[in-house]
Amino acid sequence: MSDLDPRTKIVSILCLSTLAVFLNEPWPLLLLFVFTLLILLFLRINFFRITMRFKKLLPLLLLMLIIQSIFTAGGEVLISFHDINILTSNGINSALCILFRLLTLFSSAMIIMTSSSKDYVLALTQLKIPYEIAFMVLVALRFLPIFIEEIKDTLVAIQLRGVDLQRIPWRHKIKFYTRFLAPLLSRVMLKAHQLAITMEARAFRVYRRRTYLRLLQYSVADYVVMVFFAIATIVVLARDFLY
Amino acid sequence: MFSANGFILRVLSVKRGWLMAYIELENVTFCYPGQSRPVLRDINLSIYKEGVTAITGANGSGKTTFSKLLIGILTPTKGWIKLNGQLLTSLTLAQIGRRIGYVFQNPGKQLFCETVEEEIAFGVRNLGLGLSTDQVAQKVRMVLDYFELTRYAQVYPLSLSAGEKRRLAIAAVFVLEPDLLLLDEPTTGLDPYRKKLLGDYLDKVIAAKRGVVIISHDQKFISRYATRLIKLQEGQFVEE
Amino acid sequence: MDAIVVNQLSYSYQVSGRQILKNISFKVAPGEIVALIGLSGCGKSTLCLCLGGIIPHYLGGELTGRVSVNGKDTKEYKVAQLALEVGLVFQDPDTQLFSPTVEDEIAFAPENLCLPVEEIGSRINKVLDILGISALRKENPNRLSGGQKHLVAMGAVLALEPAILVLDEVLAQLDPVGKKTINDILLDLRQQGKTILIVEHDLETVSIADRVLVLENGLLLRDGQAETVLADREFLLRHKLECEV
Ligand SMILES: Nc1ncnc2c1ncn2[C@@H]1O[C@H](COP(=O)(O)OP(=O)(O)OP(=O)(O)O)[C@@H](O)[C@H]1O
Ligand SMILES: Nc1ncnc2c1ncn2[C@@H]1O[C@H](COP(=O)(O)OP(=O)(O)OP(=O)(O)O)[C@@H](O)[C@H]1O
Ligand SMILES: [Mg+2]
Ligand SMILES: [Mg+2]
Repeated sequence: MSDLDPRTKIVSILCLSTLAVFLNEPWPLLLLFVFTLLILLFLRINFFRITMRFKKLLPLLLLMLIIQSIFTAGGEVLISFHDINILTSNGINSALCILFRLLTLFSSAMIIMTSSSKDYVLALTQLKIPYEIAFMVLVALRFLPIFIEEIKDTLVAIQLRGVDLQRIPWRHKIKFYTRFLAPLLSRVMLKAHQLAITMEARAFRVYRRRTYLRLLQYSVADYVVMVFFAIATIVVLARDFLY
Repeated sequence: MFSANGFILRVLSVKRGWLMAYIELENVTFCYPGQSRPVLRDINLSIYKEGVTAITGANGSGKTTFSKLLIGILTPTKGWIKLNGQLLTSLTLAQIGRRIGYVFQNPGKQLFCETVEEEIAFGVRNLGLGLSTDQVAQKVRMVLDYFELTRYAQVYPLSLSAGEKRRLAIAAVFVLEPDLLLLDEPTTGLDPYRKKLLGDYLDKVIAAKRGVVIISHDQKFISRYATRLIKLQEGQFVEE
Repeated sequence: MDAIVVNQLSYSYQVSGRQILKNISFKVAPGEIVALIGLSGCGKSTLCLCLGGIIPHYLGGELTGRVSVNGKDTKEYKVAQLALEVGLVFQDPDTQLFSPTVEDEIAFAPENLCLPVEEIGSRINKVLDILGISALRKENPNRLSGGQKHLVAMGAVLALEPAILVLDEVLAQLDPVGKKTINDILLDLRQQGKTILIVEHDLETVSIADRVLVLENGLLLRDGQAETVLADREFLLRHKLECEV
């Protein structure tokens, strides 16, 4: 399944996130989340890394849940303090909805990472988007990690030159970062410039057209997955609008 | 620990006897995350604060990886490294950087100031010697002169030529007065004349009872200046 | 027709204003290997950038004189069009790798040339094979060692199959095996009538060249047969191109 066409993946992400936004009850949303996780499992994504990511978001999620459950009124009152209802069944319901919705959105977005950036360029060009634009997307996707690496290297170099970033107090840290922001940015710009030169020196955009080593082709699995997602989304949306 | 290789190296280090190892590696294995084969396997090695230790090995044999382990940018997957008796993991990069002067394989990556002069002054100020502005300026001038960079004092470091960048990176590390210099491919980009100057400079460093480790493919340079030669082969060191 | 014609070329970068290349003129015939040597900072890389048209199209500054490659004046053609004639491997490997895998990096140039898929595939195989880096095919080029990066950058340009190849110090970071490989490739390319300009500090490597150009402080100091120039020890020593150790 990891060789699903990137276009299929884009469609599935769109469908999953539409569903996540439109569904409005905790149980179906939980089901949707589990389903997304199953897809990720099929795509052989590194689960460890996902959980690490979620871990950083956890405090934020908790805060939202608490706020949501406190400020939603209605339903059975579970906890109250002098006449003020603190926790109601509706509050819990909507908090759970938000929780599963966000989890689904995050994990469906992760489907994107299972194809290489170059495949998305192909997907875009094969959707008849001009390849210059598709390449700009590639460049954004490709250069970003290169830039991050560049910045990391520089921070290491600065520390090796005697600045104890791990130990200096916060006040100084902020001063430090503002001081090095400009050189870091100019460094990244220079790198972008050099990479652009390299691309053109290898005949990029010499003709209006371009061929590709690999062409994307839908397989039967792609059709099945896409049709399945389309129907599921339509059914759910129709149910929502009709009743 | 009992690999034949490690054993031989250990015997050799015992023979050096009286000299205490400055850096000690024990059973160090390193594997990049997400890769199945370790780049370095079960390495036992002592590095001394004397002479020029040269490390050679084929492209991709793991020399740069090894140097990044020594300087604490990477941490071993297994085993430990001690710097002057202290575990490397208990030190910050800044503390390590003051003892080991590291010049990257691509020196452009370690230049971050806006002028060449500033690049050198940065280290001098961070030494914590409490020098006055004048003293700093004087020291910077001396170093610029020594490395023939005076005419570029006000130039943006990243617009220098490759060889000039390398010289600047070495100079910027030099002013930190580290106990040990760790140079990754220091001769690439240098012309024969600058190579000789670098060699003379290394001679001075070791005469001052400081150590040098160089990683290089330059056979001529190594055979002229190295006092100890180790070769990296299939993730392990062989002493020559 | 000459492969490279440089006529009274002078250049200064925008920021410094200092003249880096001073009134340089030379010609290179097709099928020649020419070595460009000189002290660090004398303007070798700058000259390479002029040959690829990166100067004046990407870097500002003041350029006078004329440079043409296979009859194309670098001022009049875009860098991409010049790339059909000249393949340029830069000195810094880190600024020339941007693809997710080595294979994609090498495919990039032939894809731009609109070659059919089979041809692209066979060029990749050939290049990986002659450089001896087939094992790195699926690796991320930015996660390779310094020498491996240079080999990949070299491969990406070889796949372009240009008539003129300009190599800016690509051998310096290679191990003896890698150096030998590139040497053989260059000799093979000469057999096929390609023109090659290499920048190099190591005089031993330079000995495969037919001709040597010596640059000093932006001036073309000497232009002669490789054997004569390399045998002139007195000249080399005087200009610090060789050093007694
Ligand atoms: N960031 C990284 N992530 C994953 N693998 C890496 C990374 N950097 C290097 N490698 C791999 O580790 C191996 C050793 O690389 P290293 O850079 O240490 O080699 P080296 O001996 O310094 O070679 P060279 O002489 O070419 O500089 C190589 O096979 C390389 O592909
Ligand atoms: N982008 C730039 N802006 C301003 N000056 C530059 C720029 N690039 C190079 N220079 C200067 O031009 C001179 C020649 O640089 P160049 O890179 O051509 O030297 P080189 O002969 O290739 O040296 P090396 O052997 O060290 O690579 C150097 O003094 C350098 O400082
Ligand atoms: Mg290396
Ligand atoms: Mg150069």
